[in-house]
Amino acid sequence: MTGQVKGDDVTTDVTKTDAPQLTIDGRALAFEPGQTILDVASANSIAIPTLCYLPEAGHRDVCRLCVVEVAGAGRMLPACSTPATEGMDVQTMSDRVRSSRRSTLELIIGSGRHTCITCESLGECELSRLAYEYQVEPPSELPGADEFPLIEDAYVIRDYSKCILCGRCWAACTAIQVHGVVPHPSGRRAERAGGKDWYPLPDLDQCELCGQCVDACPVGALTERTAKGVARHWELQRVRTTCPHCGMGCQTVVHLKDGDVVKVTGAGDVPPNRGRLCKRGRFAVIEPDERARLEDPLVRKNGVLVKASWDEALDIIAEKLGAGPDVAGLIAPVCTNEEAYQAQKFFRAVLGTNDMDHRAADASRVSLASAGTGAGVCYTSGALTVLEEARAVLVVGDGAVADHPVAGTALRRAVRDGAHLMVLDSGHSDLGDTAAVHVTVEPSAIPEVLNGIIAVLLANELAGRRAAGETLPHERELEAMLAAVLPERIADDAGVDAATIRAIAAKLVDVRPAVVCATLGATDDLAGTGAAVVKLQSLLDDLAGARSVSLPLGAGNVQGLVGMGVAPDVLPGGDLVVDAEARQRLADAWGVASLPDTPGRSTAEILEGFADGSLRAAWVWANEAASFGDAEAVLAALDKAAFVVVQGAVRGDVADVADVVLPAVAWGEEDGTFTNAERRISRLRRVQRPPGAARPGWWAFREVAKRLGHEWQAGYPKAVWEDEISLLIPSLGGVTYAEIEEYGLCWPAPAPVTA
Amino acid sequence: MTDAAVAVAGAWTTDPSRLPDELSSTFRAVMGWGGVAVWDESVDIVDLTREFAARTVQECCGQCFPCRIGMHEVADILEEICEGKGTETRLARALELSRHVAEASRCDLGRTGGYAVLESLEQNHDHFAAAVADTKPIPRGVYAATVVAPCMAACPAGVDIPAYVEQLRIDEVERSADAVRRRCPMPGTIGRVCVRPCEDACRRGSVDEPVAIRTLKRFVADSEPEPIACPMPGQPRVAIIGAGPAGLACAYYLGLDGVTSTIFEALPEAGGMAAVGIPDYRLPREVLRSEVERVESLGVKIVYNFRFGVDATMEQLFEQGYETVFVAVGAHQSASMGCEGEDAGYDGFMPGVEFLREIAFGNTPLTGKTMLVIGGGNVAMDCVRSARRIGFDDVKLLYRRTEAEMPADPVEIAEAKEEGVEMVTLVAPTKIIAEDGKVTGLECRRMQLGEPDSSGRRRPEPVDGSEFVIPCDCIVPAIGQVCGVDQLVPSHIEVSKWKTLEVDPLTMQSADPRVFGGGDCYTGPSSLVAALAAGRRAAASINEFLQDKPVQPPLEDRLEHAMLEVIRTEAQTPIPFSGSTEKLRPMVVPPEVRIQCFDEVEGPVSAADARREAERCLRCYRIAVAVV
Repeated sequence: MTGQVKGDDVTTDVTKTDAPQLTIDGRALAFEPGQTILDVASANSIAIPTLCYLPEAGHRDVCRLCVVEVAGAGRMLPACSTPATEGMDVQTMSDRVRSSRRSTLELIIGSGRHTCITCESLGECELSRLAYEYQVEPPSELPGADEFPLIEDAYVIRDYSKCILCGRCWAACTAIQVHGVVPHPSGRRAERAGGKDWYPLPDLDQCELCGQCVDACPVGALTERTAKGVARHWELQRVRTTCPHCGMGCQTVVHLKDGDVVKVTGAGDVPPNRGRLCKRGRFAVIEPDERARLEDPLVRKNGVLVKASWDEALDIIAEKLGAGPDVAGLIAPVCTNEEAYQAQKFFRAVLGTNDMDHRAADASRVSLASAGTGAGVCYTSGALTVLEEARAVLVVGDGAVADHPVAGTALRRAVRDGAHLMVLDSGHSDLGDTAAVHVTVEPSAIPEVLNGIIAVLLANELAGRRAAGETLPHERELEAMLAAVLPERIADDAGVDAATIRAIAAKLVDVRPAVVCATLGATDDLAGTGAAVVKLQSLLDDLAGARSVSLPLGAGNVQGLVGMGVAPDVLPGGDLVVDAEARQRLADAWGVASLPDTPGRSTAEILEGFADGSLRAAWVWANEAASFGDAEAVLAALDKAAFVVVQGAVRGDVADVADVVLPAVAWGEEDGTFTNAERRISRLRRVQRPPGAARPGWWAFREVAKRLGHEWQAGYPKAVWEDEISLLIPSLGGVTYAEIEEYGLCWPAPAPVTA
Repeated sequence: MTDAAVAVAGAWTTDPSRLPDELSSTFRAVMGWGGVAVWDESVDIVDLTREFAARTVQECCGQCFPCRIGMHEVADILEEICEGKGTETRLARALELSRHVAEASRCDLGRTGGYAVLESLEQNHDHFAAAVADTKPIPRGVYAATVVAPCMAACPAGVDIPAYVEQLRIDEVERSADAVRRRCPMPGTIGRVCVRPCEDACRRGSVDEPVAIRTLKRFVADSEPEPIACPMPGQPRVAIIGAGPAGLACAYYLGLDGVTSTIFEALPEAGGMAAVGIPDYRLPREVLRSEVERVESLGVKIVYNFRFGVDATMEQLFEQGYETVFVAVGAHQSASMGCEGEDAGYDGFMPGVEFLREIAFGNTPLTGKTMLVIGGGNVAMDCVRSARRIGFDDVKLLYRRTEAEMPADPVEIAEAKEEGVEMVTLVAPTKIIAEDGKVTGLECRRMQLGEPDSSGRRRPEPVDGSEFVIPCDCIVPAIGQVCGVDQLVPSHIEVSKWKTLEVDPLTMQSADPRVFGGGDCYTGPSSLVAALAAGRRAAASINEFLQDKPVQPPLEDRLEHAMLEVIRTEAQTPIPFSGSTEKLRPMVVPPEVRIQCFDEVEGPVSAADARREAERCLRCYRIAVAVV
């Protein structure tokens, strides 16, 4: 079920004479058929209290706090589930209504241990707010604590003495994240073993720790362990930011006290994740990285890395890198867009090379190029909504759930709502249980299967056109080509039943809306998969108006790095390196005569370059060598380089082959922007100071550039974005930080944004 | 002022005689949604109220706050009072709370339950005050309780509809199936072909449309996993004659109680009318077979092609070691039309029941271009629609009243018309026209509607001189079935003048205590679900008989039976809001496609559809507690 997305406000213009109207507390209000009394009230800033209401899960009508008086109805009716009808006369604050609310509140507060004084949720607890408003005192004798279950672990404290059995945790787990580990708190007393059995105790063995239940709990029954006793709600500083852990770019809120992160929650109903998180995004903050933070620049002297000053480190780098053009960059997606931009500008404008890359050594070249230019790979904004609303989905690849758990929730919600899920993977997608059709093949066979589907679609299209009397050029040749890849021909090789392939194709055109969701994960190691997925997505768009969602592999800001041009063949904004006009425009803006015009080396080629000596130096921005492929192979290649700069937040294995190590900031220690799988640019915000002498990467590049004779104006991330990136990339239209504050911006932006 | 949830609130208190005699003759008092009816003044109203509150708490679904917490506290307070520990303050609190429960609960159980307690506390204040003042505990009475709803009252099997619908609302499909199976052992069949009187009684119908109760049951059945065989040791003790719904249900419930039985079936297939009377396009044979398998998985053995009275008589079965016999042979004989020539054995003339049976066995019993089917019930619809599927281009249905009065399911009538069946109304057959022993036409005369008969329908009267002939190749009468159980049972078993069994309507036991009977052979042709209900009741009775206990329905059943009758006859309170949701309707294969074969016409529904539909249920539960 989709809840209301911000921006979809209902018009309540009472001057529209054709809209039906009702009256709430004497105010005549227009409404749309299908709305409930509560919908109309909320849209008109009339507060009706609820405790159990969770509309995005379709959960309501349990607490009965929202009952209101409706003239002529006799009994009071629940606002949350009573449809608004023409001429209804509703009272929300009459004595009868208030008395009923008070009675219900007394019942709740009298049956638990609502010890607000020590409760984590005080200040954001709806029950305490209502108790205050209605002046409902707790009973003089509280039930004993041992009458209620209490479950604590490192992540969540589940104190059922405060549970009001509103069912929201069940609804969140069942209908929002669709994990189904929380039992429904209901049942005839005769069927429940004992008092404690009433409570919605989750099956912790199955629990994924997405924390949706914690967010949904309106009282203090479910709270984060890290927050216990640390800060009151009003003592916390809340900063909205973007989670960096995968390509979803989920919007989160970081709660801090005195600069320390206390907990992380969802940011409400904003795209892309609409309030949902996963274990990594929510609880990573409490799982400290065992690796030590790099706090000072390090320089290798006599084979040992020793502390140095920034000036010393930067001077050495400038001297070594400036000595010649055979330098390459390996930038892992651990940085912001601004930092990525600075990095590629350094290589192109200062060093005059296109030898830089961000992907693993075995990644597909084709998928990157097409992804960068936007040609082919179809991007859809509102990816989660698109997936949820789809009635037929084909997921290609293994990474949908494992790498992007929040995208997994959208797929499961779609299935729960009746969608037909088909999965084509190599066995690790974690969607097997949910999928109606699950085809598992060797990674190398995935492009074959995709081509088989494409062939069926094209063959049917051909047949259809012929039947309609159209004659097509090269019909025979086309048919012959298709015949070679029709399912019946490839079935044995691929290891899939031909009928299955045909069935998948049929569903994708017959069922609307249909979506092809590409998770370029484990299958990304073959050029064929990326290209085939792109072809299928475009074809289905033409044939059936099907949408496409692409969830690229790689932690964090992969999409941002692509967009900013940290790639051997793509410039910032998607233009190709070989595009002379685009190159010149950037050269002019960067104050250099020209930019290197031949595509540079990919990661694999860079590593080879060190091995064979054609490359001399490297600037590696990563925490670990595995970011670029097999760790041992990467380290071995780097070891052969004459000079290696390693920039990272933690001391990982790659620092072992460095000649200079620069301490970088980690997530949350610097402002910037992030681009997610939807090409949505969102804001990352600084919430903490970096430790020691760690500095942002964009600054390090600027400093080295300065030492090499290039003065870069922009002195902080906002300037880098607003004065350079946003202006230099036409499709960004000069968008400012302020404009992407709330919902981010899906790229390409519409025509220039006016102030 | 608390508005009562039901129009009849208080009515029983003022006028206990409006309740069925069955109640006053079995119980001393009844407390429920209409108040408290007392027939024995020695009943302790305080203890009765205590029990009522306690039972309401037990039945509460445990969700909405007012009922879950509030009613619980009311029950606690009444318990204190009955233990001699009551106080005035607590009594006042009980009053306040029961009012709140009545006002604010989510469903009728809380609303009517709260109101009943409130009314009792208010009207019997003196008694309660005295109980509070007295520290002596009040002796506890003996009670029976039942929970009913309008939909349950309409269902011959009393299926707990709100329970299974609620489980679907919260995605508990297995629990939903359990709730269904307590009263209905063949949900796949019933979920497809039940006549669904529950939906006619569904109060959601007065808000927008009734809940799709039948479709939800089909969904539950479609979602059930395969049954696991758990054969039981021991000699079968019960012989069941007939593997139709009544027989299967009896075997099923006996099996659940650990009693093995053997079913003796005349046909080569189980299911009775469900197998050979209902065409596959309404009820696919695999569905029925899997339901039969589930019965067999309880250790039931079915013997086919068994001619009762020939292959073994009843006495012989007893000699073989069976301790009881359940006669459930159904009503398979076609009723006579009263039309000249119908007994002549013409080629092209076949009773509808036989026609459907032959098709069920995979034969094409009749061929030709034009078929006339006489009748207006579901069997007639089955005949015309089957005829269209076996090659008859011109199929006419002849009915002596108007279409509006046809007893068939309106969906069947509509689908038949879509499939090209022509409805010829206000016409009745008089004589079959034949040549060389083969049907060539049917002489009919026009009818007109006269005065209403005892059933309330206007009686059709012939129009003199209006005879005319419809040329045709085949004539299939489908005006109903009759029983012929007299031909099957030993002479000492009582048989009515309609050739149906004479048994006790509640226990299903005949005058011979070893012999039980139920289903169509007892009631005459009736619904499938009524036969299932009979089988269940018979199983309960047989179980008691086998344990040498007196065979009588438990008090709870008798209370349920009476209270269901009460609901059926009561005025219903209008529901104070309106809606605009639509009933869930499964996809149906288009007519031009579906008449080509006997594949199932109606499609399945998804879990999401079922969940959404289940949310429409208003939970019209009420509870009644009777003093024994």
